[in-house]
Amino acid sequence: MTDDITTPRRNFVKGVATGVIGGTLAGMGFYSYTNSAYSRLPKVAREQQEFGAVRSVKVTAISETSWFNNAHLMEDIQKSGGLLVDQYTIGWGPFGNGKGPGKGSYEEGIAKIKKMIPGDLEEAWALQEKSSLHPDNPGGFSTLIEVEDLDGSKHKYLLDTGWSYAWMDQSFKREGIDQMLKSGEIEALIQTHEHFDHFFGFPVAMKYNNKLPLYIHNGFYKEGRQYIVDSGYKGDPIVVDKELTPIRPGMMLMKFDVPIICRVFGETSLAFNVKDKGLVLISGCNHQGILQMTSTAMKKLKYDNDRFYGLYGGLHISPFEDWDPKYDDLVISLGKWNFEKVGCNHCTGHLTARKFIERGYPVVRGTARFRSSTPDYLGNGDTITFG
Amino acid sequence: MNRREFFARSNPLRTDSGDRATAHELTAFDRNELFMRAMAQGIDPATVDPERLPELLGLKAGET
Repeated sequence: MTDDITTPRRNFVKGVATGVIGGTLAGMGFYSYTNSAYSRLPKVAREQQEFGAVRSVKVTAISETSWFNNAHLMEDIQKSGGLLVDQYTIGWGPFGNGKGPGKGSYEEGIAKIKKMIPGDLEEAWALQEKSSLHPDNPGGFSTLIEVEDLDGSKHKYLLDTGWSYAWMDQSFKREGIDQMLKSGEIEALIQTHEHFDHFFGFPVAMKYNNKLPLYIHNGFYKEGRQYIVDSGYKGDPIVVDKELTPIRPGMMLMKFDVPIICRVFGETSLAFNVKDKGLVLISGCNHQGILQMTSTAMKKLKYDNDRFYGLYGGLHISPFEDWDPKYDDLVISLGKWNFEKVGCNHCTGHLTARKFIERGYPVVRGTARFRSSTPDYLGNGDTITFG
Repeated sequence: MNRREFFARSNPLRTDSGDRATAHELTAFDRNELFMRAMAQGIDPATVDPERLPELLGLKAGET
């Protein structure tokens, strides 16, 4: 007895037709390019505020290397008391006082350099190095964002100001940020949060333009607000106190109220609606968590094609280059959002970038220049354009 | 506030129906409390799926 392996012709043709149609749809990216791709996303009531559109967004990583030695950074935090310790007391530049980990203070640190900033940053940094922990470790995070409106006009914004005065001044000059600030070409400075590696370099921006519009989260502590004044800022900071703050048509600032390591509160991130493409999200360090950022944007904003198009920033998954299985949850979860273009660096972590690539996420690679240490993600001086 | 609302509020990880709520359903207060507890234990909360945070902190339902 043999099994009947013959197939009626009609069934064979139906099978082939089904395969061809299915294959064609898959080849067209049917799954990725329709709303069915979002069926796995959280079911939430969506408010979907309209906020206009832009033609494109270009991002330049001025500096993504916030520090150069993870072990030194973690050692400083641990010796100072752990993740809840106040960043101004750790003893990092420019607020070191030579008393050791956890014994620094804003007042003592700033007193030594107040008269030098923002005019003589080189001297100020050189002086504070003598009394700071691991003085060669600081780098900084800062990003240039160029927005092209629908009418073709372009607008520049600076996102964060880094940490080391010496490193940030050098990085600003490398990318021409110093001249853009001087000329007023950069329309505003958006300080995403108060963390040392995004904010302690604030006087460097003030050296070139101390009156440009400045956005800060309303969770800034008194030391941070005082540092803005002590750095020579002559404007009136725009204190972001709403969940959504429009910057220009198609560009929205999203505010997240979360406690952050080293006694910081709150972070802001940017959302752009790129015409005919979809939503682009840009973060400084994403302390609110990548999942909270994406789910909030989906809930609150209306964007073209109802689709997540681009992502850039520090995504805060393995910032200290250790790997824990729990990080895999975030790596896997990010895939649900089907971003078409992912630019990441900084606190995303090299290991996370490598995991993204292994999972087939559309990660834009970098060139590993200017002390950025991997081509797996966008490094210092690298750019990515959405639109 | 009725009794059900009160107990639901005191246990943010459960919805009225008793199902596990997703992270975006937590109130900001609940989430921030979890974040603070995580940091106190040396966990950077931003690196964790918020839905897994209570479990990682060793919290049972009703302990947040």
